[in-house]
Amino acid sequence: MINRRDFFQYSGMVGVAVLVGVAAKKYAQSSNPSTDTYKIIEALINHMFADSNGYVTSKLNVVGYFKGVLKDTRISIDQRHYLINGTRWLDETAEEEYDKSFLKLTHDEKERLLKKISMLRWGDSWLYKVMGYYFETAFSDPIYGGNINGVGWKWLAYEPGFPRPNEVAI
Amino acid sequence: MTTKADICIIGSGAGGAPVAYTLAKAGYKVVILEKGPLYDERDFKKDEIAVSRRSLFTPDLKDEFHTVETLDGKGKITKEGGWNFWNGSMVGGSSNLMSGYFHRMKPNDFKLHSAFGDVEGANVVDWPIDYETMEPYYTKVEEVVGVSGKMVEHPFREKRSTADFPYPPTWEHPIAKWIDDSCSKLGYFAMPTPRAIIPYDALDRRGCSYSNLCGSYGCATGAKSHAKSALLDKAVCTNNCTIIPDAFVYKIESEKTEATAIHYYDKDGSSHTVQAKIYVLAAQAIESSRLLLNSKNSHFPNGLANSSGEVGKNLIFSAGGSGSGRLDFKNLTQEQQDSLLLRGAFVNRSLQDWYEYDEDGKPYKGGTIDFLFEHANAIPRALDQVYDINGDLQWGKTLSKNLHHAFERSRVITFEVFNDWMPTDNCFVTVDEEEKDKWEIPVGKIRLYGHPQDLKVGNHLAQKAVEVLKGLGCEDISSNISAAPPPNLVAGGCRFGTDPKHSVLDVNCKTHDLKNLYVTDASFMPTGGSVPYTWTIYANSFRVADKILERLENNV
Repeated sequence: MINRRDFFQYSGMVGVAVLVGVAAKKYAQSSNPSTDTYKIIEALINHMFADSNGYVTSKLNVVGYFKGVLKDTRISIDQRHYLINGTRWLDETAEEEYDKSFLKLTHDEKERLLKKISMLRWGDSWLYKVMGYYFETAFSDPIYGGNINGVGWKWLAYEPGFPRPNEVAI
Repeated sequence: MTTKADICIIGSGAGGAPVAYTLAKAGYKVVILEKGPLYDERDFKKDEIAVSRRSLFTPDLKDEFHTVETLDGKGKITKEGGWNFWNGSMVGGSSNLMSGYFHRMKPNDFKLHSAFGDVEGANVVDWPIDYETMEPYYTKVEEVVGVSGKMVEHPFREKRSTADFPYPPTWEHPIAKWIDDSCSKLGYFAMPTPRAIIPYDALDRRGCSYSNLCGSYGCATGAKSHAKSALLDKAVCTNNCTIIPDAFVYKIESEKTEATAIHYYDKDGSSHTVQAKIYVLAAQAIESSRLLLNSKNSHFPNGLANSSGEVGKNLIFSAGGSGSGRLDFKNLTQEQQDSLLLRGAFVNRSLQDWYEYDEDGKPYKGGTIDFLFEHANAIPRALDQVYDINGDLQWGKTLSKNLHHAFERSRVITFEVFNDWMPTDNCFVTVDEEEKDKWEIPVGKIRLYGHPQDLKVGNHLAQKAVEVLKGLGCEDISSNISAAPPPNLVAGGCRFGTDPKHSVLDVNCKTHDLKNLYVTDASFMPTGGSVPYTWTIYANSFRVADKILERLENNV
């Protein structure tokens, strides 16, 4: 069975799992993160992972890690812009649906909004991307700024490999 | 600046290193030009972000890339960018990152056309050498490079000149016994997977530390039998071998019958030249063809050593795919759960029962199934949980529960299928004159096509593997056999053969056109067998090294 993520990755590519995709540019574009960029990321992660035994943004330093991601030149500029623009598109959709910022939505409103955008091509793709960087925050070596004191590893009883990195290699 | 040497080798992986090792030990001056940087074992950390998420060991795609053509459902060619066909770009090449599943090709792999006949739409030919010719070199790789394992009886066991492997198997996970039992009940012959990993200190290297993160990662002990630890470090110790890292070769210069110089850029963009008696190209199948095509001159207007027009043709990959099943702790005793949680030990089980088989009265060349655990990287394991069975994203309590189940209350066993990728007219490498890399050199353009028989055979094998997973008690069993080319298992493009009109290389992997240019990576392979390529690349490179040495000794 092919799921939607597979469809995005495989469509037109004869099944090769290499994705360098940018969603349809339906909404406003911006190339620079703002204060709201990180507030929205933080609020989004706190909502999506609120049930993860408390391993949410503050324990993992999610905002600090995402700031690093947006400066990482090994991630293509398109991908970084996509991450930033997605926060704007999410917020604009919140304004359209509820006449207020995503940051001011109630828990149930956030849930309904995320359900809605997750069924859209850009929303599914962008949320998957955000979750990927969240898992990076949780499971990367603490030298990258997230996963403070290895709390992400403890969350799922994960044992890192050895030797661990002693400096940031990228 | 011009450097002089007896032998200049382009590429330091499994195709180039045996030549360097052999000739440096024999006293000849060897220069190796490696496009990537030099790392040593202290640099190889288990850093998932750098290695797996940011592709530390491959070029940045904005600087170096390939263009790809595929055929859509209507047979129309579509051009794509952004595919990553790079492997380990560093001294030792992609052998640094291999899992080291080592199988020899079988005797019939060397004569696929004679044994199985024509396949419609495919360019199947016999190799110009047989298994008996290669056998001593497979043995040499076992002993010099280091292969561990244990021979057992099975239906397609090949003849060997030695009774068993020089090194016993690496530490095996208890699940190996479970697989043995499952296979035994099904009447299958499970065999210990030979591994290019030494289990204890030997060959002036340290034994395996069982870090639980092997494939895709560099080896921190040198136990993995990659080209650098196994061969290049020893070649350098002779004082006859110089490795120049960060050296991108952009042109091979030639006269009508011999190569005369190699030009490369260093990492600062300065151009340098190497002149040698003999040149050996081993830059990986796609890049070797690209370099020959980009080195066209007045004598070879269609690409160096390409009077046959065959350079870049008949590119092949390893066909097949993979599958998996989940062992849920709810179905297991506490003792079994504890066993499954053991980390570091290897599964080390393979099946070759259907290396050849009949279906509907027709004989087919089959292949190999390897079993292993799901890769230990945490991030893809977590991401595997974010979609539900309907393909909808999930988060909150549902996702949290699934993450705990995936990481703490179950373990995934996977399998990989290896079978022949039929060489065809629709899978090849050219250069893209419109797209250039950071050095302003035309990039390789890859046309991809998988022959229908590849999928038919792959699915036949996957069904057998699925039966084994069912016997283990796995749930959520799935398999994915597709025409997707694995970028780390690529060969062909410079076929060897006896007819200069239909092959690029002669039987000794010297170009038919130039008397001092050899190609010793996987480019030479007209068909790939139904096993991972690395052992055969190593073995053939040792074979060609002996031919070059013989030639130098006789001053021919």
